[in-house]
Parts: sequence; structure tokens; C-alpha cells
Amino acid sequence: MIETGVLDETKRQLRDRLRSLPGDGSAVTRAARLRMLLEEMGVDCDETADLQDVDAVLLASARGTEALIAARLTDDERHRVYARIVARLLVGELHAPIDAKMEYAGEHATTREEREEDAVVAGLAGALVDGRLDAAPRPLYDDVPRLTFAFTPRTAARSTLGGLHQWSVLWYKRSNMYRRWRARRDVSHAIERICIVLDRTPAHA
Amino acid sequence: MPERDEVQIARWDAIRNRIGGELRGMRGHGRSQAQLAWELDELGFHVSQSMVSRYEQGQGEVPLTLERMVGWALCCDALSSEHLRQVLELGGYVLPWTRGDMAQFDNLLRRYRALSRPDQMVLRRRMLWHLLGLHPRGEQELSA
Repeated sequence: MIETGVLDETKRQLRDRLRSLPGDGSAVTRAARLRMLLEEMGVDCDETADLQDVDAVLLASARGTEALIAARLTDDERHRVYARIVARLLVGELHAPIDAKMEYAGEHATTREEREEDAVVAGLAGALVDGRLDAAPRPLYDDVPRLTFAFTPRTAARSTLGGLHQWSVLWYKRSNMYRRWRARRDVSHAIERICIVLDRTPAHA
Repeated sequence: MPERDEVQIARWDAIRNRIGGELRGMRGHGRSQAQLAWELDELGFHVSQSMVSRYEQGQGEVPLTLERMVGWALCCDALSSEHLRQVLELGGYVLPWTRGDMAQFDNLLRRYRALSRPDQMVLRRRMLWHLLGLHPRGEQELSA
């Protein structure tokens, strides 16, 4: 069985790089930055695809992963579609031996699973475009504590935080209202404070 | 016509009838020769309707290349079919994909059949390269 090019290690590296990615500059600069990031992760990007309705196609097989971007897109649209591809690589499932994901400007999902994945991709891509990753649940772009059966005060707090993160991602998938609420600055800041209280590891110190 | 070796001509003569039969089976009844020729042309193969007809009748003079065999099957949604397996075996070609892998390629083609024609062609062209293991950029660089 030939494995898909996009592996967990690639996702981990992508998450690491994404957290330190500058969010300033024009749409052209930011799109170029995301393209370089993708190419660094081994994703071939082609911005000359003659796509009519679809904005981009992410195609992965054992031969490699490629992102085909519609040539007709404006700079802003191209920036947004790159953000969607990055988000798709992070949260989407690409199955071996070959899989493809289509990126549209609007909604096109047919099954519940597709709708949920698209919602998370759109939310994370929006946060990336806005230069505010904290507007999306942290597990989507960072390593977080996990929900476990823990009994010491410190591990219990971390486990509680893991549970909250799990709950957050679940509702982020399913609820439009939660996604809007989660993207608010005051909510992001409040969640950040909760994370600091419950997890006093060096990352939050 | 490019000069060909006698051995190659003899081998092709020996297998072209059987290959023709498999090509007919691949196309099935739901797709006309004209439609197949048009789809092959869109994918970048210079195959006319009369060539489709000649190959299917075992009268094609030039040996069918690996690229054309795979493109033929891609256009017929027959990548996982026994017909392609037979054609490849007769031609002496091996692809690094299992029958299950090829079924996944067929599933992907079916899944995105609702796409507009131009979008489907972009996807199909790229899938062809993934099947054959050549990057389109390599082709561009060669022609540059």
C-alpha cells in the first residue's frame, strides 16, 4: 500500500511554522508567504490551472501533493484560497492511495462529514487570513493537553483543559453560532486566560 | 511514420487483435468512439475517432503506448477493470498501483463527475500524471 504524501509529521511541521508566520503585508505578499510555506512542506503549487468553478484543487497521492490554483483568481481570492489549502492540510483527511479536495468560494459539501470539515477549514482559513490564529480553537494549530483520567491537581487541571479543547473543536465543527462567538476577540482573550490558569507549563508561563 | 524495428512490428502484430478486444471492452456500450476520441484529445492525446476505431478492430499500425493505454482507461472510467490489466500485461507494462489503488482512482473520478467539464479535465490531466509518475512541469521544461 502506497502512503499518501501528506503525513502526520508534515501536519506537525506545518502547525509549527504557521504559529510563527507573519500576518502583515499585502494580499500578494501573504499569498506568496503561504505558497512558500506549502512548497517547503513538499506541496507543489500551480497558480495557472484553468479551473472554471472550483477555486483550487488539492491532489495527493504517493507521487506527491499538489495544489492547483485557478488562474482567474484576484490577489485577495488567491490569498484566501491558499489559507484554505493550508487549513485543509491541517484538519482534512486525505486518504491513500489518491485523494482530492476541491476548494470553492461558497458551500458545496453534500454529506454531514464534508460540511463539518468544510466549516472547520473555513473557520481556520478565516483566522489565518485575518492574522488571528487565536480566533480558531487551539487544537487546530497547536499541541494541547489531552483529556485523561488524572488525579493530581496539576494533571487534573491539564486534563480539564484537554476536555474543554475537545468540546470546543466539536462545537466548532457543528455550530455556526459557536464559530462566530469563538472568533470574537473578547472570547479569544478569555479562552487564552483560561488556558493559562489550567496549564502552567512554560508555553503559558 | 517513425522507423520501427521488425521485432517490434512482429510483436505488435501478434498482440494488437487481443488488445483491440480489450479496448472495446473498456469502452463498453455507454460511450461512443467519437466521445472517447474527443475526451482523449482534451487530455492531450492526438487520437482521432478513426484511430479509436482502428485500434479497437486490431488494425492500429503504431503500437499503443503506455500513456495512451492509461489515458484510454481513464476516459472510460476503467482504470480498475480487468481490460486495462490485460492490455498492460499484453503490452508488457507495469504500473506501481494495485487493483485496489486503481479502484480508488476510479472512485475519485466518479466522485467529481458533477464538476464542470473544464474543471474535470484539469483534475483528469493531473490524475494521469499521478498514475504515470511524471510531473507536468517536467514536460514544460523539456519543451522550453
